[in-house]
Amino acid sequence: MNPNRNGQAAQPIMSLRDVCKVYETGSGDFVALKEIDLDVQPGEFLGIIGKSGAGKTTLLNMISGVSEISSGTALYYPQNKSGENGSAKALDIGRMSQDELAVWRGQNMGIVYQSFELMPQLNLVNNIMLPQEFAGHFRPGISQEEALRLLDIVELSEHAKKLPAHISGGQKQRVAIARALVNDPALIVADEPTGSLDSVTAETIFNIFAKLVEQGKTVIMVTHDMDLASRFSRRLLISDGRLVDDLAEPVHKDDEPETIEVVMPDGGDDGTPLLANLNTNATHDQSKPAILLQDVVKTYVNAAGSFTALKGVDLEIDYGQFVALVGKSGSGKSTLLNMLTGIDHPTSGVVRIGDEDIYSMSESKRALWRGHNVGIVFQFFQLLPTLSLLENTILPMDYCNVYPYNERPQRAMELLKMVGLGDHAYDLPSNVSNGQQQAAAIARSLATDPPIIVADEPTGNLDTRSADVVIRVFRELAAQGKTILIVTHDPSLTSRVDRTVIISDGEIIDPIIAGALPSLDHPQMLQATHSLQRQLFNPGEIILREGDPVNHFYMVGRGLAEIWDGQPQAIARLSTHEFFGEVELMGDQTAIATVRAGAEPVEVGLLPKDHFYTIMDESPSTVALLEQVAQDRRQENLARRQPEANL
Amino acid sequence: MNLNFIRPSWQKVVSDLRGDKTRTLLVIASIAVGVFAIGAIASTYAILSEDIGVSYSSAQPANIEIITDPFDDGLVKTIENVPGVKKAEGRQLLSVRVGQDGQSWRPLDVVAADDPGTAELNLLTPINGTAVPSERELVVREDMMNSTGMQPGDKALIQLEDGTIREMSVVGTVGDQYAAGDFSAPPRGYIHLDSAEWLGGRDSFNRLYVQVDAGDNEAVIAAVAEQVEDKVERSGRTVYRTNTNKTTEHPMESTVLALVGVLAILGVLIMFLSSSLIINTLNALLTQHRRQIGVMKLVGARGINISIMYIALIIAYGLIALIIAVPLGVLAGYGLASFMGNMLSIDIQGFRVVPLAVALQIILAFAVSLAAGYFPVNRGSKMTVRRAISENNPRTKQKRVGLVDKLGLWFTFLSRPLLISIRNTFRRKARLALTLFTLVMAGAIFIGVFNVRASLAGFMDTMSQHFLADVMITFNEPYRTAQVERELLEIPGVKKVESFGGTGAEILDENDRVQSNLIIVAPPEDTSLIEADMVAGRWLRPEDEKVLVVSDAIWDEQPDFEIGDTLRIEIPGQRAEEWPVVGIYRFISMAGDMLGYANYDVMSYLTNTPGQATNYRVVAEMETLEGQNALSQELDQFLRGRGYKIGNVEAGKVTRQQQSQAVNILVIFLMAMAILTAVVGSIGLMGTMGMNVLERTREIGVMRAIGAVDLEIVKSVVIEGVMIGLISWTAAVALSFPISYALLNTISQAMMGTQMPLEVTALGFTIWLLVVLALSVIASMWPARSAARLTIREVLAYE
Repeated sequence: MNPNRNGQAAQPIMSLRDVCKVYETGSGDFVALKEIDLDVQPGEFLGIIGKSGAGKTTLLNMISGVSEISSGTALYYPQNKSGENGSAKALDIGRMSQDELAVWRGQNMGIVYQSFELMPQLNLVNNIMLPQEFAGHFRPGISQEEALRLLDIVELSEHAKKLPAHISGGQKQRVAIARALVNDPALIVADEPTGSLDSVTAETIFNIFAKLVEQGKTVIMVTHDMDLASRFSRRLLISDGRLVDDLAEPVHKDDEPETIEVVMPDGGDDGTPLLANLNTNATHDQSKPAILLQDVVKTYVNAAGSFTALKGVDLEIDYGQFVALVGKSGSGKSTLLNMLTGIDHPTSGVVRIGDEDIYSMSESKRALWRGHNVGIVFQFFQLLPTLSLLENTILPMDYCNVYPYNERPQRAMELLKMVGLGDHAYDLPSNVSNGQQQAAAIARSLATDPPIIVADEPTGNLDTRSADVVIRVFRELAAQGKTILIVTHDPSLTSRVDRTVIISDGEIIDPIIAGALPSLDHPQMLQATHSLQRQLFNPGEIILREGDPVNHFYMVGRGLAEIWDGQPQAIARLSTHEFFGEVELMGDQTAIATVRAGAEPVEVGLLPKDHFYTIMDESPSTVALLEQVAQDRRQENLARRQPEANL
Repeated sequence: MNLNFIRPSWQKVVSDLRGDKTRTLLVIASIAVGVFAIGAIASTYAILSEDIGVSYSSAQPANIEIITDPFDDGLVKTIENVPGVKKAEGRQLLSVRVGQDGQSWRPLDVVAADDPGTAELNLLTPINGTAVPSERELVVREDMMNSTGMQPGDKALIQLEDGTIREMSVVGTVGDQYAAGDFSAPPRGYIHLDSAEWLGGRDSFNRLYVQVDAGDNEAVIAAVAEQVEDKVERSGRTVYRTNTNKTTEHPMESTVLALVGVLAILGVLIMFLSSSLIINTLNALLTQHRRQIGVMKLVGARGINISIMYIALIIAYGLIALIIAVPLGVLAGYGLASFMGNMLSIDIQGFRVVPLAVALQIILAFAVSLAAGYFPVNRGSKMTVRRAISENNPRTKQKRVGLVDKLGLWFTFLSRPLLISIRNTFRRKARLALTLFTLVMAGAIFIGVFNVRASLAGFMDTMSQHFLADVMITFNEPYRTAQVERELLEIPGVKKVESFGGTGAEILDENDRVQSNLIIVAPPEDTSLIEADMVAGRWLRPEDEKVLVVSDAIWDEQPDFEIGDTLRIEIPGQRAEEWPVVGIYRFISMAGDMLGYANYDVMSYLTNTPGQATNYRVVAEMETLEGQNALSQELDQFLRGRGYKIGNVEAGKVTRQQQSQAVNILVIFLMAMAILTAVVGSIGLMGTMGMNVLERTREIGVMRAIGAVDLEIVKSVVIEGVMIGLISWTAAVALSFPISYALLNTISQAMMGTQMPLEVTALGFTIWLLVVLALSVIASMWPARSAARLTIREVLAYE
């Protein structure tokens, strides 16, 4: 039993013992939660952190009684008004009826979801009063006053009479929090409450939860955002349906899931190419980029006002590149994807795919163009449920009228075999696993042999092994000349792609910053991007002269920068993603060596020293990295000078 | 509107009602159509059944009508002294021809009353102008099925049998309830007895009307009628025919109420159909609100809270539907009753609301919608929170592969887009079943109405050949058949002439009391104009003597009657004799007196007119109405020029057209109900297609994302709609046979008192096929276009 905030041992508010959750799927049972033991202490701010598909939402559903427990027990200990455990008996959630659960939730638990879930027909006050009515506490005047008080807490009292459609996403989430509090519950559970919000709004929402904890509420929050980990009073990592108490502990990597959703193509495991049999047409005009976005702005306007999701994005991707588009939820990455697939209109700017200005076409014509030129793999597969996997794969060929009619089934079958689904070609999507559906979606995206494949979180719902095969397929496609763009918030994938594009709050982060200072969080990277100056130095040109004052932090973007120390040869060469100037900026701000461009032109990113110091204040992990590098370099410098001095 | 004092859940109900106007309209229309139909029909039934008796008795109808030789007031006074007689009056009925332009003529039965202003029996209902004609003035009967088309102020030309033309002023139009019900009778006019002689009649009566004290007692009426007949015969006059009926029973009452009953059955059917729409729409609503239900359960709502909210919504739908349907039903009910009243000379008492009909509407509006909503609401309230809030529900149980799923394997020529449409059609099986139920019933009724129409027309054709030919000539006295036939055949355009003899007769019981009247028609032995639909026995043979072929109405009188049995027949001027019956043919029992056939030679002998006839039927070379009309006028002039005394010369098609009016009006009613069912069906289909598309917007987005152009999206939805339409049509065709049979049986029994043979016409199938195809395309085009207009971002809702 864990101590509470005051250090006293306390009875938990919620206790889970040996909780398992098994779903029946088309391909057998899927174990989503495995022997979960969890005590939630009154007044704690518990963070449950994990990737998509790790089981965190399932766990939350077990806690809130939304989903039936397959085995084990979940007990709730009723609290009295002072927030302490009352004398009442523990309630066994697993044994309650649906109605009993509803009443229990209404009286004891506030629930906040990622997607706000307000009643669209009711104004904000009424949305908040609804749980009061269901709990039998509705009193016309008094309830309204209470609703207004809660709206005031979440700073929305001036919008009280508005409908949810007329406020922003962040405001909706605040209303959802106010609604969760209306019956003064002891426990609040929140499922990715900041997942759909931009970083500033997300921070506001997180702070509201933190404040509730300070006021004595117990909050359980589920998130995939590791950056939030340090801000919970206790955090648990969930992976493959298992909980790990300490984030420092390694996850049970060896434990394979009980049901593995395997994509097993013909070949591949032994290193042979997965796509050996695939006929692709990779002849493109290589002199032009595959994808070109120039100053693309996307602003959404609704009754709540306007929101700019993309703020002047410039992006160029060549044929044959395997690119990862990385960003947090709400960063604008899906909007960007929509722009370059022709799914949504930019407010301004140019989007050229190959030779085509795709927004000069009608929506209908663009659909046909898309069918020919862009294969899309959706996060949730989006296979048509009434068609078999084979028919789903043939469908784009039918729509685009490519390949002779009689050859289409054969090509579709080859594609399905390629992704390991030869035996399931005649199955309906609902009869195969998620991994198999994703594989079929990939096969479908290749049906018309498009030069560009875009995939939105293609591994988001897959187990590790399936995800690995999917990435290998993409790599091979890129090697064959196709341009692959995947959207992901999984940083581990970025090491396996040719290029990573990071997007934050609707802007592309300068790759120089992202490469040189990877431990900055995305908002910090974005700020740095705003301050960054790029400068091109010709071969041999001096970038920084020994003894001169240092006013910038330098990061190499392209080429080699050479460090000279009065020796006939350069003492070191710094390549892309390496930096210099940090030793001086952390010291007396005078250059300790000369840095000049090597034999090729060098592009360098210059971050003003004030911004460098801001980073030093705000990012301890970056400070640690910089200090380590600076210390190493100082020692090297010292070591180099020592022999000189001895001479 | 400030609704802060209302509980949030009730506010949600109000918002749900106001929020999605299309859906709200769909549900309300679904409920309102059925409730309206029931209300209108119940009101009609109540008004007619209440007013028909009152109206009829207010006309002081005679209980006994006796057709006899001329008589005067002396006989009337004698009859008034017969015990049980309340009142007796005489009338003279003479047949003339009427026209306005001096060119075209039509028959007119003129009823002359001595001092019409003081008449106490068979009162006329004034419609326009006066009901009391002075000398040389004419009042004409006007109702929907029997009208001269003349109005007060018009001049009427009356052609007497000798060709003399008299001009009369039309001074009024009236309704005549006593004369209602005889669809085949010519239009009527009413004059003062003082005008009778001027019109070629006499200064006396030939119709005796008697009202008895116990006017509602059939036995008393029959007994009094017998005494009156006896008195008349004792006065030396021949009784040609006696009709009796009750004071409060309109001649058409049972027919009218039976027909309203048929409409009521259709109304109930519409109610059923509309309830299937309600189920579908509410199911879709609950599916759409699945997530909201989940959220409400998350924040503490129990199943009962959810149920109450949606039941309240259904009650609100019902209430609004009532607000629309009750006044419309009341208006339509009164309108329908007035229309039928006008058609049948029933005096409708005035506009009123029928409380029972309104109560029925209220009960049905709530009962049907709540019953229809029970299953969707119950399912919604019991939905688990996880199911309600799960977005993609990726982990679902294995789906069984059905026949439709295997289509692609069996028929490889089916493209994938077509497969999508086919499989989508069968995806929501319960919804499809309900939609099909509505459409199939609507279609079957629609086709059924056409079949009934064709059957009625066919039957009318069959029946009318007993009376009608291309041109019918009636002389006022018998002429030699050989001469008339020869002269007529000389006229160009005349193909064949047949001479018909015959007489009125009485069927007597074993005590020689008159059981019923019998009209004996005597066609020539080689007649080609009558092809009786024999149900027993045989047709007449040349060698037959005193034998009869009678209509199946004989079974109404004598259910056990068999071929070979005899009828005791009294022909005027002859003694009663037993006549064996050699054949029975199908006929309508309500077309007046029973019709029998005997050989011409026998009858001409018995009526003392051997080799002569008063009726001649002409077969014309021209088959058109205009051609036959022209021939009839030519024959009229020709015969008149030869000095023949002509009663009437009329083209058969004209008479047939007039007779068709009654059937056509009925068909219009049935068609209105069929259209109403088609409306319900189309609302159902449109709702289903709208819901289908709404639920598949994400899939439509995916189709767009992988290359489907607008046309493909529209095609996929429209094909689905058309498939539903075609399936429903196929089933409707199959179901139309029993529906047609049942509909025809009910109507023919109600109207004609006989079972008509069913005639199936391709017209109904073809029209319904076109209608259902058009409906399918229209109903699916609207959601299809909406679907095509959706951007992929909207449907996939990324952000």
